[in-house]
Amino acid sequence: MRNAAAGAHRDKLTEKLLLRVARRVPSVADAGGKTVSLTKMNIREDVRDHFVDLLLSDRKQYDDRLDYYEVNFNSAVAADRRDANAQHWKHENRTAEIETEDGEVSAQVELAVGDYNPFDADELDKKDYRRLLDEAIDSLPEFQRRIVVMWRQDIPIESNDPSIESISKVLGKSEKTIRTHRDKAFASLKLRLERKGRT
Amino acid sequence: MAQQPQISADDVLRAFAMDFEPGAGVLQRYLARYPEHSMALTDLSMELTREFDEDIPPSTADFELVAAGVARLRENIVTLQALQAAPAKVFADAIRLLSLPMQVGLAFRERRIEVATVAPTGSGEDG
Repeated sequence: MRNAAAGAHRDKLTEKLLLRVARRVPSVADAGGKTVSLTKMNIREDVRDHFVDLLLSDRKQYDDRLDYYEVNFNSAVAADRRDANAQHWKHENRTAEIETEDGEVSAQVELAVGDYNPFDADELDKKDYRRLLDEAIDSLPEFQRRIVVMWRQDIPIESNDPSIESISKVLGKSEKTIRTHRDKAFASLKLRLERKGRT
Repeated sequence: MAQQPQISADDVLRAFAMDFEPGAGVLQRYLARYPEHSMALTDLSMELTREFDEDIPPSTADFELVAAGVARLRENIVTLQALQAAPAKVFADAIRLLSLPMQVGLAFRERRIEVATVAPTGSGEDG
């Protein structure tokens, strides 16, 4: 597409690429097609605008930032989503302070979590489950969301090996605090996924 | 001891996005190497594992998003005035694309021809 001469062919290719971008940014509409989140809409538009900016820049003079999309389009758009999320959710002051430093996990939470693991391999095999899980993780407070995301990538809660990054070290909180909030997060995920008809 | 060259957050994140494989220890490696970007790396890890259903047909909202992007690209058709300020290579490529003699191109670039005196594209050809 970058080497295509200006004209109908290049326009067609550009449109296809823009549609790929649009389909890799979460939808903002409910089942009835009504927009439910202005912030999410702004994020979608930002990701699209960034891509258009790069196309325009590349048309004037070769822009190596567009190379990332050629190497791995989906990952490049994922990075754009992260940039737009950081800008808009920060603006909306979504970041919630954790209420207690070393708060105890209530008996109710412990009971609800049990040995529940939202990343159970059998469940993760199902595409619908993965999509619902993403939505459920998105709904968590930022601190809990980061714990869950790191947990998912096998980052240990605590490590005695200084060369190993732990969740506790990255987030600058005690092991106990991390465990407490992981359990709270898992309880929320379980509840939310159960409501959606999954266990 | 020589100082490590500072790598920008953007470069680190783009490299991580290209290297990432779920469950392959890539996040652990990047967290250890770039602790100053740990929050952004964690957030990006979430985006890199996000599931999209490619089987669902594009929505009206998707097409609207695309249409606005296409409109912006069309609005940005390069004008001669913009080209006059562009780097020499960009200008030379444009002149070649327009099949204009380079002397004419240079006359435009050096403002020896008044742009307003040039007939609009297509005038006198398609009626």
